[in-house]
Amino acid sequence: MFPQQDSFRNVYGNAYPLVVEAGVRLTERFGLSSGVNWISKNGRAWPLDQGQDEFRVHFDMISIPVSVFYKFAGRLGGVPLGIMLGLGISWHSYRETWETVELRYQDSQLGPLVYAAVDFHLFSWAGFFTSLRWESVPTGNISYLGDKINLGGIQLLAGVAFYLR
Amino acid sequence: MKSLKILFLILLLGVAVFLFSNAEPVCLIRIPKADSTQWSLLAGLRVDVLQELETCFIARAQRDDFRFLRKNGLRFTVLDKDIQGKEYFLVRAGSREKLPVLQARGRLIEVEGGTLIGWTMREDPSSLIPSDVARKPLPTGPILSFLRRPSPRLAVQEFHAVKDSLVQFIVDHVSKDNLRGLVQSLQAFQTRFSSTPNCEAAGEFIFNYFQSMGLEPSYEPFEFEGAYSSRNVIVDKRGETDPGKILIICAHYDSTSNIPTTLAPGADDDASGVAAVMEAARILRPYSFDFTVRFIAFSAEEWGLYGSRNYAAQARDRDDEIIGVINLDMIAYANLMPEDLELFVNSNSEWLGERFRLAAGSYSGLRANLIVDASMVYSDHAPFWDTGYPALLSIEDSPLTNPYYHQTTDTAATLNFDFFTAATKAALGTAAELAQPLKAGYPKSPTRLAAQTYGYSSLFNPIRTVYLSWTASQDASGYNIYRSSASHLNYQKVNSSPVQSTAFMNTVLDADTFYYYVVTAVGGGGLESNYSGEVEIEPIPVSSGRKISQDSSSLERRGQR
Repeated sequence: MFPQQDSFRNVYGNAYPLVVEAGVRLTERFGLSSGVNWISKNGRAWPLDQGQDEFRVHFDMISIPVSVFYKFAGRLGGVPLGIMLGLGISWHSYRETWETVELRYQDSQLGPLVYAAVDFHLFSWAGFFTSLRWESVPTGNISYLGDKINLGGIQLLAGVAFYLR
Repeated sequence: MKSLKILFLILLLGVAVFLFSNAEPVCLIRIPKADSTQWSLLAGLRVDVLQELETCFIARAQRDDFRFLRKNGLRFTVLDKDIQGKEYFLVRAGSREKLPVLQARGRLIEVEGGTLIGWTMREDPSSLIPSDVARKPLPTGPILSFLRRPSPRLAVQEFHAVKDSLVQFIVDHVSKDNLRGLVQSLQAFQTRFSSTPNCEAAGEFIFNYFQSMGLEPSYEPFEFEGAYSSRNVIVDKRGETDPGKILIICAHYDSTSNIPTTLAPGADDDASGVAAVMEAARILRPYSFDFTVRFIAFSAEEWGLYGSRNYAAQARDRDDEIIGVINLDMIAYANLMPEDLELFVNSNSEWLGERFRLAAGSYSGLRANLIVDASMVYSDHAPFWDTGYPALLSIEDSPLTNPYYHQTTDTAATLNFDFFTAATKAALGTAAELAQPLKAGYPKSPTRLAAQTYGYSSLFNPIRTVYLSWTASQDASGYNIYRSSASHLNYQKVNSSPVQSTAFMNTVLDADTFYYYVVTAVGGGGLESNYSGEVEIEPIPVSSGRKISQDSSSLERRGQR
């Protein structure tokens, strides 16, 4: 579901971001988080009419989010867990390239993000992590495939968390 | 029984009065021009546009339609609350001093700088508009479907003249003595005011002149103002390669003055234009061209462009492929020397004006000023604008400086024949260039060039693929493909070496630009033919997210009007 807009999905389908983030607790409840997100996806230019030609295109986006979070602890079935609510901004750099035509678009934007996350402390040094994140990446461009292009949307992330003490 | 019948009749009358009183009056409105997206909005809303001017459209609409126009962000002002039974004219005041004089006559409203709209209750418009003021009747039906979305202004580009030695040879045949003789012959009819026998005799004179050249002229009769009739005189120099494509060079042979039925010599207006057309026909006759050159002498221009309106409407009905129209109206009076020529075009005809301007410089040394002004609608080029054809007006000055304009003193003695000859050469050079003279030994140009275009879009960038195909040319060993972002100007070759087949695919990256393609045939000896006819590739309509809000019942009703 990310990026969520139809104009992106018509060309590239579903994209799966790779996310590496680190967080540090500043106080008992508050912390700061940052990292790198990366999307790389091949797609096919969308025919606007009856055209039968195929033009392959490629999309890359690197995002650097910075957020503050509020964390409180809990327990589920005996497993300790942390619940985090965060908000911040993200810097996005994106590039789209046509493979057989000399045409490329590149830009960068800032956008807001909001998330809720849960990490299950399975071990003292590692655990399972999942988050639901909403980001908005307004590009300021109008696509021939639809309305104003926004590379944001809702992400459901899941992965492994490591803890350093 | 009798009282029942009376009651029935009263009831019937009541219903009729009720229906009549509820008939929504149709208003005349003025819509200021905005950006180019307004064109698709007007088309989407099916607004009955009657006239395009430089800064606005004149349209008709019912009161019911107003809220839909407003809802879609179209600003407008109501010019007249009920158009029923009225005939509208556009009037060009010419000078600011004339404005209050005209407005004092009533029924005249200024719609933009110096342009007024007025109406009569179908009486003679002379009662409202003085004879020395230019006027044009408003079309009675919608014209938006004929108008093309304006292409980007050419002003930012620089164009280069291509001087053709054969065209120069042709142009050098223009004879000052012939022009003088023709103007004197036309002025000798005393008056050529349409509706007089003298005007018809002048038409016969032009017809006979063409016939004496070995050409085959014809009359196009038409009626005007309900009670009168006249004839356009038309003759073709048929094209050899693609005769369906037509270049028109025209002028009007009728005249007027303050005593139009007895004396209206009209030497400058417009015996000068007609003489240039006749001289052009004489000179071009022995040569062969790719495309047809059509010479037309219109009538009833002074009454309200009736001859050209009749012709242009029929041409549109036939779907004639008119490349361009060169209208010559008053090209022989010079108030100072060196005099220059004014060329009026609308945005769709800008290329034609640019070609004329370049040809004038190349072949006659005459300076021509190109003016893009959709409000200059007071001569025979205007009906072609209304029907979507490129057309230009060539005129000595605007505002007019000829003090004999529409006077009994507009005679050959007041004309400058050096300027007149140069203006004729400029027009002839333009016509010959656009019709493309054939040269011995060169291959014939390809015909039936057609284009199919497809759009593709990634997230950020659209592209178009253009598939061209054409009919093979005799003696061709290959073909070159040319492209430009301006119609009929600055073509650039897109293939690296001649292509062997009669099809070609080209990818263009700029989705917002009009593109124009032509093809040439390359002969065995490397000689290259003239260009084929041009095909236009329109921009991909951008989805701006601006939705058109409309009411289906209103539109259906409008469609029936």
